[in-house]
Amino acid sequence: MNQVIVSALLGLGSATLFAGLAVALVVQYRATGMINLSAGAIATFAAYIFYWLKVEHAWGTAPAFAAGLLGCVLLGVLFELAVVRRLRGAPPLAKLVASLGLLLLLQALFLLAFGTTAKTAPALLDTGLTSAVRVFGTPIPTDRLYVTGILVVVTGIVALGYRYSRMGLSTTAVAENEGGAILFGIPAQRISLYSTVLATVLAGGLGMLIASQSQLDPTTMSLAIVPALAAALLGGFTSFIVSAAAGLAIGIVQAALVFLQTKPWFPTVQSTPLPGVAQLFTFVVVVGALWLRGAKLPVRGTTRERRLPPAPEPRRIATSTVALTGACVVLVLLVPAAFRQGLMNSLAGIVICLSLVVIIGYVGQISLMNLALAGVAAFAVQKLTVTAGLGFPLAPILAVAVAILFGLVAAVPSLRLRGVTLAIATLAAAVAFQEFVFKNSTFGQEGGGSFLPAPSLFGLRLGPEADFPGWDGKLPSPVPVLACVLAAAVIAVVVATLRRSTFGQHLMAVRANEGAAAAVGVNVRNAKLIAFAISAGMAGVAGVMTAYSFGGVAASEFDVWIGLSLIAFAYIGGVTTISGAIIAGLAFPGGLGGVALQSWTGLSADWLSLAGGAALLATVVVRPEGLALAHAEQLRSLGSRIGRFRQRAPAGRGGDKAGVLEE
Amino acid sequence: MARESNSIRAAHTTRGRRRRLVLALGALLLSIAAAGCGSGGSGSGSTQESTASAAASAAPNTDQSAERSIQVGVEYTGGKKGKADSDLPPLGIGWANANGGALGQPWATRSVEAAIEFVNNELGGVHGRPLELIQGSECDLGASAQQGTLCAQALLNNPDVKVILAQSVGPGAQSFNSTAVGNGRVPFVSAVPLDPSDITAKNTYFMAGGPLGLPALATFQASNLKAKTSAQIWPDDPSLSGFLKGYKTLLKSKGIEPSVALFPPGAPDVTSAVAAAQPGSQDAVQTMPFSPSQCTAIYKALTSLQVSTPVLGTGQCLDPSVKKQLGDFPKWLYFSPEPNPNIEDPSGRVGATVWALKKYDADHWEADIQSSQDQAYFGLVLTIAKWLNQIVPKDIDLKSFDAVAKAFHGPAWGGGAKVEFGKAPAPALGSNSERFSEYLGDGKWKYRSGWIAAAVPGA
Repeated sequence: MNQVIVSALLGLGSATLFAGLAVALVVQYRATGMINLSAGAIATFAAYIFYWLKVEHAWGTAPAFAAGLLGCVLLGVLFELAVVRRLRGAPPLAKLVASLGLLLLLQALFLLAFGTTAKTAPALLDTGLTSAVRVFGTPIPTDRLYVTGILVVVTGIVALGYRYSRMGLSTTAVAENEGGAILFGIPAQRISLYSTVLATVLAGGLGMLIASQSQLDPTTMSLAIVPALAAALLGGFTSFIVSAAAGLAIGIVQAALVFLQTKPWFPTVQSTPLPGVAQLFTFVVVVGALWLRGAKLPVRGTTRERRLPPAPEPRRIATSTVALTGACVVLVLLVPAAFRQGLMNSLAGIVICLSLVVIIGYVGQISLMNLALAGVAAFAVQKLTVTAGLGFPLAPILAVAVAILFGLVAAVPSLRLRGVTLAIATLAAAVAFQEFVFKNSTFGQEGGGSFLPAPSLFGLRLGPEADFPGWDGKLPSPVPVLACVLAAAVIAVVVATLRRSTFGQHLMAVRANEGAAAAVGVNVRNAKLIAFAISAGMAGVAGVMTAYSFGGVAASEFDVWIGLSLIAFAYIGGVTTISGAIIAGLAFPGGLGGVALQSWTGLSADWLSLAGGAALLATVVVRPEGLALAHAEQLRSLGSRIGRFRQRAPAGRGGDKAGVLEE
Repeated sequence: MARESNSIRAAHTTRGRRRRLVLALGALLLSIAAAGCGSGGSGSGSTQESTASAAASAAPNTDQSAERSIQVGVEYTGGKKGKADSDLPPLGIGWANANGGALGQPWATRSVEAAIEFVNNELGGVHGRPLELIQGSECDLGASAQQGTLCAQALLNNPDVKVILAQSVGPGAQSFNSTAVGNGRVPFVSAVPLDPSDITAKNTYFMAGGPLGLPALATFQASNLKAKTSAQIWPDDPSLSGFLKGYKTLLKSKGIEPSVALFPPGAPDVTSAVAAAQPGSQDAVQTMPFSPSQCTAIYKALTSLQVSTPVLGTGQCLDPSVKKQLGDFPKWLYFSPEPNPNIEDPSGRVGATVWALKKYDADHWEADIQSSQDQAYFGLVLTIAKWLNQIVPKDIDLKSFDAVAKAFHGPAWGGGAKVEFGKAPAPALGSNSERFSEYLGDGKWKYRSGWIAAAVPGA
């Protein structure tokens, strides 16, 4: 028991990071309604400034720290004016995606400015390496205790400030009823600005304090956002003290779990400590808290809050399918080999984005775990093929079934959750899948990656070396690309048909208002479960396509940040439309657009990531409805101007109605 | 072509079976290796302290003359002193590496580029023809899994690529290796395998075993440190977890009781994980940091926990940033499949590497050569040049390349003393040995062992 306590105390460094980020998240959410996924990256941003000035330019500790804080203030002001203010009335998903845009932008900047090698950050509190307090005979470094103490004091000040100061009370008023607060003369925009800057400074200050106990690289502190979200959730995104205490508790329990893993009775995998237990614990905390509370986040009384963009009914399904499939076939036969692989990557991206169209666009369930479900199918097809010896197509069919099963399990929380709470729960689930399942050498990755042989059917090879008339022998053969075209076309038709069906109308009704949908006889529970199953099945198809395309599976292919990027691209394209999914799939890095851009410009992937993050922020702010709908609107406007089209129902009309009804 | 395709297919379909076989044997590999290493190791050295180079030395390889360096290079590659003929068509070496991304290791590209310059400007190229490094913008394995496939296909589709050289790391590593290793079109050369199944692939050549070299560490701890207990502090990474199981078994077979703790590679603080392994009460501590900052974090954790046990570290701890932060490198024991660049090397190859890197990678060589496998990748280019010099350019194909690779028995430039390809059960693994040295502080080093060979899966 003593050792458990000691281990828990040794985890105070991580615990303080989780707690501090949770407080920053609450500050931001209370004033702006934004769940800022980039809080960890902002902490990294400040830590890099401190490192750069202190180590590379020999500044003193105090001026370097002040410069780090100043950098955070500037970043906060810029983020507020350019993004947060413009998204005040935007749907929660748009705000989430915007914060993701900042995260991607900052990470790309870190890579370009400081390279890939993790830096050793200088200590802000130089207590000496051996300064320690002995607890049960084990030295506990004093710097952890100091940092935790500072966090406790700062959290107390913030809590008291929000409880008694004019700004704090104004923030509470804005959070509860923004319209009313404005009528009473409370400057909502200024409150938003102050809060964004405060959240940024809190995260940044913490980053500079913690970095020396950690590693200064683009991802380490960014990843701490997931337990921080769990802590903020436990605090209802309202209470600073509960959030901070929850963050500390999560960090301490995670550290104790690391110690308990060394015990002989603790479950192991292949005689080694079970991986991902800490992340699984975070997921259990999130789901448990949400399930027990059964509550959603406090609804903010914004002046006007838009819902998701309209989801127009697809028209001319057969014509569009034939035309797009034909175009793909022509592309496959004519373009150079690299573009064939790019198209194949894009087709897998399109299919997974279509799964997002179903679950987010049609039912309004912000699920962030679809790439994880794709990973489940990918690992399943690999295990079924290599370990169980099943062939094609039985193995992929069963793999998709496994993904559906997991999707249904994941759907259970959605019966009680909506909006951003569901987003947080599914984000924690995605991280748990990544760490606990995919990195488990029994269920997931073996060695450097799990090999998957190319598929064949009745002796006919379907992999990258498959024979094809007139093939020039350059990889990949057109055969697997054509198979992917076929799969994507079938999935697209399924989605289009689903939207036009009676069940599709039910889904739209659920998206608009669950209570109203139930009142008119829609079985909301079943509708959600079926939608989750369909979406998971599609994600599974994408996972299988990916596994065959790469000739194997690795956990890093289904990383949570890639999943978030995918959702961001889906949002840019238009998360409510099939055309939006196609745009997203084509634009996704490694897809056709990325291959073309890379081959024409020669830009490195880091520069493309930087451009992607900036484009994401710009699109969310300027075209929150997504490129597909914006493009459709422009086409309609052009058509009416030149008089070529009569006043018949344009492509988006049905959807517009749905959108208007929702408003 | 059809025959070749059939062979590719056969290779792919049997690879899964081989993989299972390898993994099944994986449990046995380390215990069998125990027998192989138990006699005190093999190779050119022994498990005892190397008396020949036991004298502490501080970076003695930095002042080798140009003439000696070039002479050593010419003798190794079989080339001619002077520049390659730029009028002759170049011989292409396809290159893939994680240059960017969070796991990027750009030093390997710098090292390979410097070696190409060395061969082309000083060693007369290959048959007088210059070597050309072919690396498209798609060949950044640090970007994504998609890039891995795109890169492998681009290299395999390029008729100018005579051999693929790669460092398979990053998100694109798995997809790259799935396509490129044992591809049946172009020989594949790398320093270490990504996966145990790679060492059975055809037309594939690895100069070191990477994690497969772990048995050497067990031998060293048992024989040199006389350890009965050992704290194992490893990153929680799936690419290593499979090896850890066998390694634990091997340590036990050597009479060492391991205490294992994993730290998440992205953990903000590793102190609790380090403490969980109870390093203070063990006879030895073995750490496996992936980066200099991980090493610093582990060092700080061990120091704050006031651990005085002998510690084994990796080259990541010898990055200048570690020295900058801690005032000096940790005074630990270090293991590496490469010669220590700070200790005198009678063969002159280490000196020649340093000389060439100083000339062709002036800005980075000093940091790279300490902390990374700079010598190994530099050496791979020279070894490829040596092999290609033995084949008439028009006859370069899988068969001729395989023949010269199998005829090569070392010593490898930047690697172990003995090399042997084509030997069952790991035909693609030419060498699998480690050498241990100790940092004494103030830039002084000494070897603590000769080359200790590690048995390979199924041996």
